[in-house]
Amino acid sequence: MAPKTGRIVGSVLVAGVAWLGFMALRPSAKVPEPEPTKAELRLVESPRVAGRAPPQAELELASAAVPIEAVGSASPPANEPVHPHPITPRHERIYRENQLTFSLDSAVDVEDVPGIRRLLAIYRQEFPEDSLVLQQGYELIANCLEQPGATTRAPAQRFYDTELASTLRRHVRRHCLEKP
Amino acid sequence: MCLLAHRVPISWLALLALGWTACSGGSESDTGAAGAPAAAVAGGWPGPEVGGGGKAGGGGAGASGGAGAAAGVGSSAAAGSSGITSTTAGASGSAGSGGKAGSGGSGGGAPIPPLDCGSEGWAVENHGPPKNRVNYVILADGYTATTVDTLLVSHINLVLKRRFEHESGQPYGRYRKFVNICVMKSLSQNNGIGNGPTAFDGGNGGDRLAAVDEAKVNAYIKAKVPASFEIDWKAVVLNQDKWENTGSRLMLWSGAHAEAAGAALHEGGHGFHQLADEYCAKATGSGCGNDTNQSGSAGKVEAEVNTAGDPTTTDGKWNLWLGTTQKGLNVPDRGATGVQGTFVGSRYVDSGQYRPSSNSMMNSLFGLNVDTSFNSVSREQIIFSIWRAVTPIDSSEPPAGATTDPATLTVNVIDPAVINVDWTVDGVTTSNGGTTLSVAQLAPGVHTISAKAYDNASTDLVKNRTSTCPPSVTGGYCQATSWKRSEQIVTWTVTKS
Repeated sequence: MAPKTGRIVGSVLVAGVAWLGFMALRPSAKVPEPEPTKAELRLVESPRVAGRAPPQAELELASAAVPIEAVGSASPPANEPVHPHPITPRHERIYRENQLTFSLDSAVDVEDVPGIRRLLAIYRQEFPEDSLVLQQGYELIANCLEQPGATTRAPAQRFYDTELASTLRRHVRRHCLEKP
Repeated sequence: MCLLAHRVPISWLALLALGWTACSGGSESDTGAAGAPAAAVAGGWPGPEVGGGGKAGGGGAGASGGAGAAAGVGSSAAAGSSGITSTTAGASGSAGSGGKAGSGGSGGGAPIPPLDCGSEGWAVENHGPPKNRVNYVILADGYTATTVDTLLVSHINLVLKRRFEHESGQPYGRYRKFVNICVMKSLSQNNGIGNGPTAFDGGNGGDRLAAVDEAKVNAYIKAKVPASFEIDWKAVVLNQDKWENTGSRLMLWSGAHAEAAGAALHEGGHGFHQLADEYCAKATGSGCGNDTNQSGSAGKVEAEVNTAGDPTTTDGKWNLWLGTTQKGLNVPDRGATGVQGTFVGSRYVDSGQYRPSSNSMMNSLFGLNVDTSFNSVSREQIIFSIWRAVTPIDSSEPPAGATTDPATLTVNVIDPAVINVDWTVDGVTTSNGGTTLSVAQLAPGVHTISAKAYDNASTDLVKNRTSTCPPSVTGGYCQATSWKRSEQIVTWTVTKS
């Protein structure tokens, strides 16, 4: 290698090292990220769980320690977290079962036997699995309200004694077992 | 991945340091519980009237509960004694029957017996006979023989502390003594959800929902929960930190998540109180829309009481609350959800559905701001739900009916702080006279005495006192009919010799 060529190569190497050093150390070395579009922002926000989730260790809940922000204002606080889940057919099905069973409960409360039977028919059709152990209980209550006496009380007693996972036991007791 | 790891402040990461081992290196599907409690409280719920904690066992846990409760009653009884001596009321001179009936005083009665939650149950809240309490059972999934006494306890304590002590849990703080809670220390062979089989096969139900094998849940309850515990409300807490919760009648929440306490309140709003989500489709929480000042496009009438299609009438659901400002129930009152109105955007739509407050527990459940409380409409509904299960009086001494020469008459109410008792002696009524009436000084003869016990909730808390449903409510059914159960009368025919 000729001395001149060597000097040129050396100079290039020195310049290259200097440039690399400069690039590595300069404060604004990052390439700016593109501004997200509105649609992208929503996609980013949707799965977020909490904008200001407190550490568990800080969950001291004395009311005196509650930070006060304007309440009832039309504008939400900054960094308001997003809602907790998307809405899907599964959510709608849960809503539907809740609605049917709460309506059945209310029909029981006002002792509306035709209403109980009508809603129960729908509930059985739409939720045949009866995972909440409710359908037999609603039927027994309707029977007790319609024909109070030993005939309807006996199966109600069996339900009360055995279906411990059913939230209808209290109401079977109330409408079947404790009625004269 | 560990859901929380990249979202929490550094200081909290330090607290989760032990748990990080379990989180790191796993895929999304196999990430489970924190490996150690972030703020473990192995001893159980620290509340003054609650037993429990430590090892499972209805006897031990219940005994603690009983003792605590007894102390509470004792102090009430002291107040009652004071009331009796200082207060006279009623029949003196009336209708010539003569005599004086000392009125007043609260409490008295027998100590609360232990709550039987079965051999695997932890009686975390014991306030009285299950037949006259809201009975809430919580099953554990993804907790081993070790973590059932550490993580589970801390997860439960965190959730119940918010439910019963923070404004956002109200009205549960006010009605705490109306609720019994059994936590079942159901054991799993693996710690955490997603790390292998668990007691109820908990996991992702899709769409950020949690899911369990409901048949296994039912079978476990049949086998392990005592028949005396008439279940009104059931839930499973999953040992995972994912944001997966479900507001079905079998309520599910992830116990290790930072917002687990809010999730349990929110999902209970769905699963036990028939409340709707109050957020819209924009995924921006309370930013769905501003107060419409009762104008806007009318939409469908939904069944839930806290969403309305018509902003002018609120479908008859909360017109009584329009324009009011919700008061806080905690002391000091730091407010709650503010102005009750019609705010556009609710139940997953941006227009045509309206919510009662700008923010609320059923809108944005996160954080501890008081504006994430249940709004006035939801609180009223929760109170109706509670009264659906119970009546004010547990028992009376002596039992109602004919009695001869009793020294006192007593009604044992669920909570004298919540329930007032009016005494009527031969037609003369003394309002809020306490739970015990001294009849020692009544004149000889026969006297008719009655005690009317009722919820002393102000109209800031319950406005719909007709026990009727608005005609517009879908199906004509609502929970408001249960309000009539909040009043109960006991009558004695007292013979004084």
